Amino acid sequence: MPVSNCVEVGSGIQLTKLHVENFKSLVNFDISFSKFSCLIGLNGSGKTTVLQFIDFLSQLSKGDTLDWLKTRQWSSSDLHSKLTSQRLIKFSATFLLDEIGQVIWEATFNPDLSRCTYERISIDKLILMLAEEKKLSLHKNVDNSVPPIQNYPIIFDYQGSVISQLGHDLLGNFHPALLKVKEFLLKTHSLELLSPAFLRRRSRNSEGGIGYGGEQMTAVLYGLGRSKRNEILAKLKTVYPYLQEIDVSQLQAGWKKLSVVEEYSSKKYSFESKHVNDGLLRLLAVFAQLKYDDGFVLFDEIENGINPELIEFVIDLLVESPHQVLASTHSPIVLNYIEDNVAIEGLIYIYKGQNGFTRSIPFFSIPSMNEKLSVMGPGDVYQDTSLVELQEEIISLGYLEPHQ
Amino acid sequence: MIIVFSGEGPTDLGSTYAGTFSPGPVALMINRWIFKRIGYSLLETNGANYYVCKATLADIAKQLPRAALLRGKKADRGGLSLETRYYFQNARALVAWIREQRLEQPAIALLFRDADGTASAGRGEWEHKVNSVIHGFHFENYPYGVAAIAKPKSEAWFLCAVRYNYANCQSIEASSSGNDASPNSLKQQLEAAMHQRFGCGCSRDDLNQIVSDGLIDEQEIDMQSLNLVKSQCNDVVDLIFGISPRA
Repeated sequence: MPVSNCVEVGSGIQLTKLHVENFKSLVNFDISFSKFSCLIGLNGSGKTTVLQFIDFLSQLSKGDTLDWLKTRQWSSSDLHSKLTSQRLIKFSATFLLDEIGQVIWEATFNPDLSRCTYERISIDKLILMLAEEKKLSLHKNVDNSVPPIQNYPIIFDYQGSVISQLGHDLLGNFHPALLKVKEFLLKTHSLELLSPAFLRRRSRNSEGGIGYGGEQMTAVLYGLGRSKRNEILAKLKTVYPYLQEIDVSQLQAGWKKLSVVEEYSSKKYSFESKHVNDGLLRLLAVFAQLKYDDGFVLFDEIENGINPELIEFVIDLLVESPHQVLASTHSPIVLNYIEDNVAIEGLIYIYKGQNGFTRSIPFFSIPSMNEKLSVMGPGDVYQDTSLVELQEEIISLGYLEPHQ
Repeated sequence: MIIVFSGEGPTDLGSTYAGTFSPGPVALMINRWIFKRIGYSLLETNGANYYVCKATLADIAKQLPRAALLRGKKADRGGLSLETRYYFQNARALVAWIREQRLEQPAIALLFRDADGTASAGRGEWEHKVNSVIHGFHFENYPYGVAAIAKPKSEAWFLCAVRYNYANCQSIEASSSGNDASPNSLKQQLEAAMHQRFGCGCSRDDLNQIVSDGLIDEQEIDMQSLNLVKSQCNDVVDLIFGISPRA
């Protein structure tokens, strides 16, 4: 069921690697991503934590980490791992940029100060930005038209990353990778807690896209405009033939209301969002977010609320989308709708070592999984495998447990 | 009568090169066992033996109409428990290959796999894997299938003869790992035993020679996994001859 009449263009940047030290169960944790990646693993292995960490990175670029913690009903002491005695969270994020290559952002985040106390963005040995001890250095731009900034005192208070405080106008004067990385992070959206209750709610503000739970979806749909909503409608009609219209109207004080119009026996009926089925609302959320911008989109348990016959439609949509996508799933049906080459590149097995640290391994780099894939689908392999015992094979491959 | 083999590689059922089948030691053992029932050698009869390599089966398996592979209470009871689907799919693919050939005589489909091979890495029960192959043959309505699943791998059968002189060999099946990288692996044990007893290694040619000389004798080997192969071969031959219909 191909959906590839997309005309969107990718953002020209991908998050390709992460190294994380001390964020919840991510202790000395390494993971690699492709354009479409999907996390699989037992409950409690740390799949959602990976999504949360990427959302945390995104929040660092926006500042206001305290508000982010409040939204999640966390405190700053919930961020660091309980499995170690460390407080600081360190990470290294590697991005691949078209025409530029590999850019690495390394930082140390102090939860007590709610900000990064050390940050470095670099290309190979070229340091594009360095922030430490409240001093900022920015490398001169490519054409040398702007002089470098050396050890400029950071006299203002901020939360998250210092790049949250550097405006587009300023960053645009320096190496283009800086602005691209910041924009990528700003446009990273986690829909990890999609809930029908939030999706049905009226909303006013579409800034920042759809929220974790689906809040703001009506406002985002409204902001997309009729033309983009009709593009979504055209695709949804292939699986919801009765659907005739996605109607979003503005009420008093800027509230937006969603209704859908369906046609039965040549008669049209309008249903308010509170009467719309969960699956359609979730699909609308996925489409709306993909149309909202060209950023990195994260979905937790993508199969939730979606009938198996629509799963192929959703998976094709995400795989063929120009966006970088990271999803998690427990569903062999989802995995069976991923082509082998995409699954080999993008399926990541998440598991916990005996010390409680989360680990990752490309699922089909495990020899037995690769052998099974030769005669069955990726979901069949997953469902056929004793995951509890799989760890022994992974250890035999030389993936050693890191020390605390 | 025809026999169609599919195995792991040269040191069990054999391999093909430029379309010619070069049997390995397990194929020789099975051929000799069947010879005693039918009075002629399938391996020495033109057009009576075929070998299908793993890659060919893999290509076929991916094209097979999807079976109801979703696990659940009923499916598990029917032979779809964990770590078995690889065997099920290969059995189905072997039947599909045989049917594609439109052979003019009944063909024994003999699927040999190690119980502890690459696809399992030590996981899963031997019995479930055997049942899964049988389930695959039944699923395709193929009556002449033989599930040859060595426990944990074919080296255990050879070791029984070469090192243990056929005595107490059931314990080799119970206590050995199929992992070639493990210390004191079956492969290492067999190499040492072959060297000590016959002054040779355990290449296909070495093993073929020892089997042909009768120094590895399938009749003498009393091991659960090989016994099951022998009894299935008997049943299938009886079925082809119309002696006793298979249940």
